Amino acid sequence: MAEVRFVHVTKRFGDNTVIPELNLTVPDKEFVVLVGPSGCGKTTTLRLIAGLELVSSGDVLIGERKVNDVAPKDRDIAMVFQSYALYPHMTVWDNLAFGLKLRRLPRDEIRKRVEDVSEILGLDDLLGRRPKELSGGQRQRVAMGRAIVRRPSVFLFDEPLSNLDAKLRGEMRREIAKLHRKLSTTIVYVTHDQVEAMTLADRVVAMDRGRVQQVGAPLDLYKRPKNLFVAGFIGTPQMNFIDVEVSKGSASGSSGLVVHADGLDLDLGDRFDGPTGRRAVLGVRPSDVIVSGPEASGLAAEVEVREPMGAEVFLTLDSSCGALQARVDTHHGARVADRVRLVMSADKVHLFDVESGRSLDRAYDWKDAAPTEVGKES
Amino acid sequence: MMKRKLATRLLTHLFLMTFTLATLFPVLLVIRKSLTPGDSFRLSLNPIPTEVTSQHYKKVVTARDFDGHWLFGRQVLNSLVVAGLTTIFGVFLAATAAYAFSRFRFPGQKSGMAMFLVVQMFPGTLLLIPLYVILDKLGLLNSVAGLVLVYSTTAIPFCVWMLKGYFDTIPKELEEAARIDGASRMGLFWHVVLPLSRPAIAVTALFSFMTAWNEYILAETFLNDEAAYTLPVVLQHFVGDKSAQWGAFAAGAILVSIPVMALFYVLQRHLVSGLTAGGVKG
Ligand SMILES: Nc1ncnc2c1ncn2[C@@H]1O[C@H](COP(=O)(O)OP(=O)(O)OP(=O)(O)O)[C@@H](O)[C@H]1O
Ligand SMILES: [Mg+2]
Repeated sequence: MAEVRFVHVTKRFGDNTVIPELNLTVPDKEFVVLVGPSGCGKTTTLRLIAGLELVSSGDVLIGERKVNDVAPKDRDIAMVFQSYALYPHMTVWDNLAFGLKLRRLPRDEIRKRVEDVSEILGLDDLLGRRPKELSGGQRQRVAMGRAIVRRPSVFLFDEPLSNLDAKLRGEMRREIAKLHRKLSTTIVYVTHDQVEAMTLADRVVAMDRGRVQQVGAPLDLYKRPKNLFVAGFIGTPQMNFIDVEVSKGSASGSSGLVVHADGLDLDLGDRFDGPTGRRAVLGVRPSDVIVSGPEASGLAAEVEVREPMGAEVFLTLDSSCGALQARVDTHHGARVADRVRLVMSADKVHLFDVESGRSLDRAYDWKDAAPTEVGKES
Repeated sequence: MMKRKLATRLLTHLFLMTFTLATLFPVLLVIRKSLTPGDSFRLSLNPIPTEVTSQHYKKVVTARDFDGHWLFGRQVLNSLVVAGLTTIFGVFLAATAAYAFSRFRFPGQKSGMAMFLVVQMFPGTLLLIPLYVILDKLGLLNSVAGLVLVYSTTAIPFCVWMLKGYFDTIPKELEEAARIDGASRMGLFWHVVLPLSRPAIAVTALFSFMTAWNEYILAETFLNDEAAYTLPVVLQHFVGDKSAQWGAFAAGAILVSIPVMALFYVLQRHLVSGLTAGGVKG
């Protein structure tokens, strides 16, 4: 029952600036997922909320309260660690009750809460066991139970599912979604699993090197990546990037941009805006690459690798613009060594500035943006 | 193939039995001595007593001073109190110090640990005179408190090293989880760190107890009242300059080792590994 806010937060470890400047609001009751490559500062961000790390400058607010100097136990948060961090010498019951005992809740209340939570998470039969007698999935549940039983106003999850196998991960993911609906508490959730980010989040925060790259609904980030980093990070297989030359106007007389590359000319209409006569990066998702027969007009290419995934097939194609990936239906006829034409629809592609990495989509207004707000993919 | 296996096995066992016997032999000789009448020190390698008497044990246990006060009971009590207090005091201080050395960053952290190691390198007898002077100034000569103080200070460096090494292996996340759950520093030390450190605590406790229980030179120097003696001093006096009561000495030695064996027996169930298993993964 609280929003979390970072105001001009920086975090250094010695000389190493891990978070150069963080401004972020996690609205009350929202499920916010932090994604980003390893080492980008996701865990550090979470630990700053928990109070396990202290900010080097700036403020962290929980609710209306500035918590910079508030001890972890007084921040009204609960955290689920990637390693679970269950107390090995205590039974499941004691693990769940530990925080409540320390807070001196009445015994009946403790019993009631532990029973409620163990029912929700299906831990009833495990209450007498110790952590080493539990499977990975069961430990995970206990770790979540220990957080839930405290009824905090903010939950923090640090890659809680990364130690589970694929099947269990799917199950727990759906369970976490259900829990959020039931508890309707603010959740900050760190992962580098895109599926978790896309399916769980009300809002995704994409981070790179300690900076927020884009904040938005999961589909926003997928459909309208704000910069090259987000475009490349969200979506599997990764978006194709093609170096192009941008020029103005076209035969059709539109005011928009036209891009050229070796063997490729694409009229983008007026979705994008940017300086002409310069280089830019054209982005196309593999699912938006239409693989046609050699008679069609489009970028000429040859099928190099064909990977059937079941319902769909991933194709790796060699073209004059370099290697590209396409994702096609499983019945698609293209075979290895086939010559094909690649057709891209102007309203499905993305265009980025080469230097700043920013999207040239008219939806984004960069006029007020600080030059540092967005980094380029290296 | 089978034959060779059997042969190696036999050899291994022969080897082990030889060494076990070699280790136990002196103990058996002491037991024999304590049960054999007379105080002569005849060298016989037969560990089986030919005559049995309890006279030596009686003599040790029923010793009295000039006023007729029972000495042995008093001396056992001295030893128990000194060793017990040394253990409690030493382990408590060592555990708290080791925790600080393991978890906090502070000036002198590295050099502090190094100092403990350096102090360990000097033989205890080297400290005899300075310690005597200090205890004298403090008015603690001839007292239980003085001995406890001295024994604790000699046991603590080893205990700190031992415990710090163990604390370092306890995952940091467990403490972080406890901090979020609402534990204070002291609370998480008490509820999380100590219970998980049982094996190391048991070892250091045993070490402290034995250090104090067996120590002779310092006790002999600092104590001069028979009623204040600890058992090693008592034992030594059976074979002092004036007399050589080897029978009583042997009987006393056996009696003195019983509490240590008992303590070891009690503590050994804590000497298990893998207490932190299951807490964190990865
Ligand atoms: N206690 C610390 N002391 C020094 N550097 C640290 C400390 N904790 C984190 N860092 C550094 O801060 C950076 C960000 O670390 P962080 O753990 O937040 O990354 P992350 O995004 O969670 O990565 P991952 O996905 O691998 O968990 C890393 O470069 C790391 O080396
Ligand atoms: Mg991390």
